Amino acid sequence: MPATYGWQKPFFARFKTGGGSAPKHNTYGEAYAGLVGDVGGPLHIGFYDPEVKNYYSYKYGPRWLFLDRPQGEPGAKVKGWIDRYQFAGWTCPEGYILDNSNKYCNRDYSIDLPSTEEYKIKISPVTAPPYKTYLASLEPKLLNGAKSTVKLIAEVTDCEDKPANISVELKVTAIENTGGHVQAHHKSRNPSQSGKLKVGNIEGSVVSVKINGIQEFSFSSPHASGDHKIEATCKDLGCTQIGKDLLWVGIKDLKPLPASDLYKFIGETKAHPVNTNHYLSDLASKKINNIAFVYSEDFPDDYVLHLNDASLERGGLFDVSGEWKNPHVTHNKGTDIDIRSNEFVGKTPGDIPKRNYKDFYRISKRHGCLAVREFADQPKEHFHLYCNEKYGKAE
Amino acid sequence: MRQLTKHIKVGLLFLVLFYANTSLANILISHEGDSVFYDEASNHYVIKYVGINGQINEVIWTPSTNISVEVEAKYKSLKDGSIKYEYKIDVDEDSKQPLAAFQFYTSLTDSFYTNKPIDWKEIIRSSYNEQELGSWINWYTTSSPVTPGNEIEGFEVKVMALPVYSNVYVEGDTEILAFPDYGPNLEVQEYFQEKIVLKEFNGKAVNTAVPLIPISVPFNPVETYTPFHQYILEYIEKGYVDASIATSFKNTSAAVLTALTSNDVNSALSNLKLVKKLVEGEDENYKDKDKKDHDKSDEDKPEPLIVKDLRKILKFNIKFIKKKLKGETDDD
Repeated sequence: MPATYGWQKPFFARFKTGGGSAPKHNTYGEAYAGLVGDVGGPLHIGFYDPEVKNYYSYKYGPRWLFLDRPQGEPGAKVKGWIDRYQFAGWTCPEGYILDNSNKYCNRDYSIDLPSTEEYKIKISPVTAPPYKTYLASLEPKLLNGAKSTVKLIAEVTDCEDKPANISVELKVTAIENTGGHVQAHHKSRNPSQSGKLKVGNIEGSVVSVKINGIQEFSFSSPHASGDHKIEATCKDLGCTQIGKDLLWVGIKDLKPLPASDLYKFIGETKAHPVNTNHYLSDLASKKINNIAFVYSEDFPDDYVLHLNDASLERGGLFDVSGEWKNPHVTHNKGTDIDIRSNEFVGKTPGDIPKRNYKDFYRISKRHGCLAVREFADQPKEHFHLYCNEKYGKAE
Repeated sequence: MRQLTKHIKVGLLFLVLFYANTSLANILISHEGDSVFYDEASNHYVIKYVGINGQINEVIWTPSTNISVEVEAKYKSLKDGSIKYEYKIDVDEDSKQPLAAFQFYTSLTDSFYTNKPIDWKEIIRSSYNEQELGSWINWYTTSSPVTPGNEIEGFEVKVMALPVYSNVYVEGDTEILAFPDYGPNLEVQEYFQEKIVLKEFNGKAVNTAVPLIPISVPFNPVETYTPFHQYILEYIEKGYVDASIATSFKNTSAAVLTALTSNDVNSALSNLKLVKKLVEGEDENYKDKDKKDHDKSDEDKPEPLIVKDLRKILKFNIKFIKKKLKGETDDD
């Protein structure tokens, strides 16, 4: 028979633990107190540790030394919470069993852990369709600084699922290791490369707002792609965020160029290692493959094309050196790619020789890519191919 | 002397004002110090930007549409039921660029015969547009661009497709755009790609006969006439057919299609005859007017009711379809 908690208003209490099996977070905690109906006598105190989302119990009274720790998410049914006290007589009280050490009388019971939260906050998109397990998806900020934005709403309800009127803090954080930016080889994400929230005229990574039932707000993406988490918390109140909380920022459907004898991959760096820097749209991949095929047919005695950086797995900012900034500006949509073109580089040959420049230009153009020479006539010279999705189609 | 100085000052003022005015009018985009300016006189673009070392770079890009040509298309039906197209391109004497590339889109997907001049290369590829099932035929030269005042012929294609009055594209020989570093900032680059390069990407469009109406084997009159009729509606919409005959032209062509759809060959033939008469009647009408206006200057002559090259194409297609309907063999 599960015990029933009658949770009361939260209060703060000092907890002290009694040994190795004690809870780790044992100093102070936001506590909820209540009597367990069928125990009788001693007061059980449970508290919710927001950091580990576990319940701990502390039996307060004569048997206070015997502490156990049921674990579970708020609202879960937890078994194995042992009510025990030191064996002090010939027989254990009714319902208790002497343990193997002959020292303790134990009684097992399960308990329905109640939700400690008084309020629930749910974030949902206003019009954007959901994307996989995400709230919504949107592209990174691209053209002319124009924002890429999605509208969201925060709904607040009380324990009876009625609209509530409380102060909420909304916070957005870019998730590390997403969007092709491997944290191990990157500096910490520059705040300017994290998305921003906006409520009314207030914009920032963290915004506080008084919500009366429902509040519309927006998220605008940075140049850099990656997952963003939206966290909603209530000050001085117990509340739980429910539902999806992640936003997907990036260019969809980019795929790594498949390996081929027609070209060779180059350009991997510590920040963007091999197999992470050649993502393209299907159409751009097709164009590059066609260009490489025709070029190798026309110039069988020359090197195959050496393909340098295209885009990262989700496009957006391509920070070559992992510093959240770079001049690789148009490598952001899975349409552009660099191709080695300087025959004087020497150490790692694989260039398009100058005598083939015009042919390469024409071959590229006929396949829907504009070849532009970058760092012209310098050691870093290469062709930058703009393979805009609209190029090479009938008007 | 004072007067002369005054005149010079006024002249300079106007010159400054003229340039200021022109510059402002032709700056296509400007963002954080980087910009693109269009020079109308030379038809080239000036890209100015702050380089990676803080220096100001100025790069000139001339699009490959700075060319002036005439494209002549000849087409004839062959005994095997296909149509052979031959193209000749005259590069105008005053063209600013020599001819380096020629391309068009055709509705054909299967293998087809092509030929090209010596020193020209060929790329045939399927379309990148999912709605387009046909192929792009591209010819280009890097070794022998055709200089102004000269012509080139020898571009041939043999396909199972009737002609349409549509675009072929020519490109002039031009320098490859080259930046001393990565080029301008994202905003300017995006504008450059989306607005400027896109506009000229396929080359300079020239209207002529292009194989775009597939001929089914065995011949299916409805399948062939349906796109032909659609093109007629398009020609009317584009103003290639004078408004005075547009309605009757449209209705008569629709009547042909209706008859073909209901398998009424006789009615289709008689309506096709009316379509032909409209085209030829207009033709003769123009000829008569031409005779009457013999002494008038070119400017006083009446405008033709159907664009000349289109008229030829319409007559060719009508004749071809009529023959097929009558079950006659091709003997051209």
